[in-house]
Amino acid sequence: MHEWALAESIILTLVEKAKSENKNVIESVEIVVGELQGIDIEVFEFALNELRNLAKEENNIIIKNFRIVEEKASFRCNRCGYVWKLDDTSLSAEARESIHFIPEAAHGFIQCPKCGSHDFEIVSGRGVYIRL
Amino acid sequence: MAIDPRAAAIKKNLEKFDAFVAVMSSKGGVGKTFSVAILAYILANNYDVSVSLLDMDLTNPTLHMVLGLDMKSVKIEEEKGIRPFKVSAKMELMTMAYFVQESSIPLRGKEIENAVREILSITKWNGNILLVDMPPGFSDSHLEFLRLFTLSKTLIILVTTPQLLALKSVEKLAISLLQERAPVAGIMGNMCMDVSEDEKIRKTATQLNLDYLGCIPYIAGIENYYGSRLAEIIHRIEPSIKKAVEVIVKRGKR
Ligand SMILES: Nc1ncnc2c1ncn2[C@@H]1O[C@H](COP(=O)(O)OP(=O)(O)OP(=O)(O)O)[C@@H](O)[C@H]1O
Ligand SMILES: [Mg+2]
Ligand SMILES: [Zn+2]
Repeated sequence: MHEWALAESIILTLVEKAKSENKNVIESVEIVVGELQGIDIEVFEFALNELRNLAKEENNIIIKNFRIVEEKASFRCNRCGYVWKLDDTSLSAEARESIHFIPEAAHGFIQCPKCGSHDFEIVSGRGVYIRL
Repeated sequence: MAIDPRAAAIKKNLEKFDAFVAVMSSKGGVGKTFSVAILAYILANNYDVSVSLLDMDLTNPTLHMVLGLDMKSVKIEEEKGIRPFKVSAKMELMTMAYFVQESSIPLRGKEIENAVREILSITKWNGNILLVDMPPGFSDSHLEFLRLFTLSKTLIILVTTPQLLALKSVEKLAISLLQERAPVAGIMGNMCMDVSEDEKIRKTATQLNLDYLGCIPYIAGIENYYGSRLAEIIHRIEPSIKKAVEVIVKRGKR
C-alpha cells in the first residue's frame, strides 16, 4: 500500500528528528495530506498508529498526538494564468491512480481548462508534509 | 515548521544498494539508454548480479522499450510502497512510463525534483546494484541525482560516440563533474565502427585522465534485438566493454 509507505516516511522522519534533538516525546504533529495523493485516510491513520507503536517499542520514542489535515488541490496555468481545482477536471480512474502515486503525472492527464496548455503549476494539495 | 518526510524514506529505500551506477552524457542520442540495457543484461545474466533499473528520463522514458516492455498493459504492484516492474528473475525497472503510459509529460525544474523524490520515496527495490539511465543534458534530473544519492557508493559512466560533437560534449561534462569531485568512473564509447573510432574515444578519456571503459560496436538493425533478444548480442558486445563491467562488478562486491 502506498498509504503505508507515506506513513512510514512520516514516522521515520519524526523518530530521526526526536533522536537528533535528544528527545523521546513528540507532543503533537499535524500531517498535511494533499488531495492529489488520493489517500484513504482510514488506512493511512491505521498505518500511522501501527508504526507509531513500533517507534515506541523499538526506539522508545513516543508520538503523543497527530492530526491529519486534508488540503484541496489547485492548479495555475503558467501560460494564461487561469486557476482551477481538481474538482473542475474529469479524470479516468486510471489517471487518478497514476496521479496518486506521482502527482506530477497530472501533466499527462490534465490540461488548462481555458487555454489547453500542459504547462501548469500545482499550487496546493500536491504532497504529504509534517507541520510541527 | 513544515518538514518533507520524503528525505528519510529515500535514504532508507536506497540504503540497501551496494552501488549506484549512473550513465550520463550531455549530448542526446549517443546510446545511454542502450548502454544501460546492455550493462543490465550482462550483469544479470553473466555475473548473477541482481539489477535494479531506474529511468530518470521523466519526460521521455524509453528504457522499457529497449527492454521490450509494453508498460500500457502492466498493473502497478503495491506492497507497503511500489514494487518496480519485474523484467526477469534478476532485473527490475522503475520508470515514469509505469504511471503515464503513452503521454509525454512536460515538467519544469521544481516538478522534476518533486517527481524524482516521490519515485525514490515510494519505490521498494530488490536489487543489489541500481543502474540509472539519465536524460541527455546536465540539468534538473542530474543535479537531483547528485544531491540525493550517496556519492561514495556511486559510479558515473560517461557515454559518447566517436563523433566530434559528442566527444566535445562529453569532455565539457567530464570537466564540470571532475571539478566538483563527482565519482566519474570513466568514459565508455558507443557505435564504434572500427579501431580508429575506438582510438578517438580512448584519446579523449586519456586527455581527461579518465579510464577508458571500451566501446560498444555499431550494430546494424539494433532494434530487432530489443527485448529478450538482447541476450543474443551480448557476446558481440561484452568483450569490448569488459572494463566497464569489471568496474561495476568490483564495486558491487564491496
Ligand atoms: N551500438 C549501437 N549501434 C547501432 N545503433 C545504436 C547503438 N546504440 C544505440 N543505437 C541507436 O541509437 C539511438 C539512440 O540510442 P539511445 O536511445 O540509447 O541513446 P540515448 O543517449 O539514451 O538517447 P537520449 O539522449 O535521447 O536519451 C537509438 O535508436 C538506438 O537504437
Ligand atoms: Mg535515453
Ligand atoms: Zn491556460
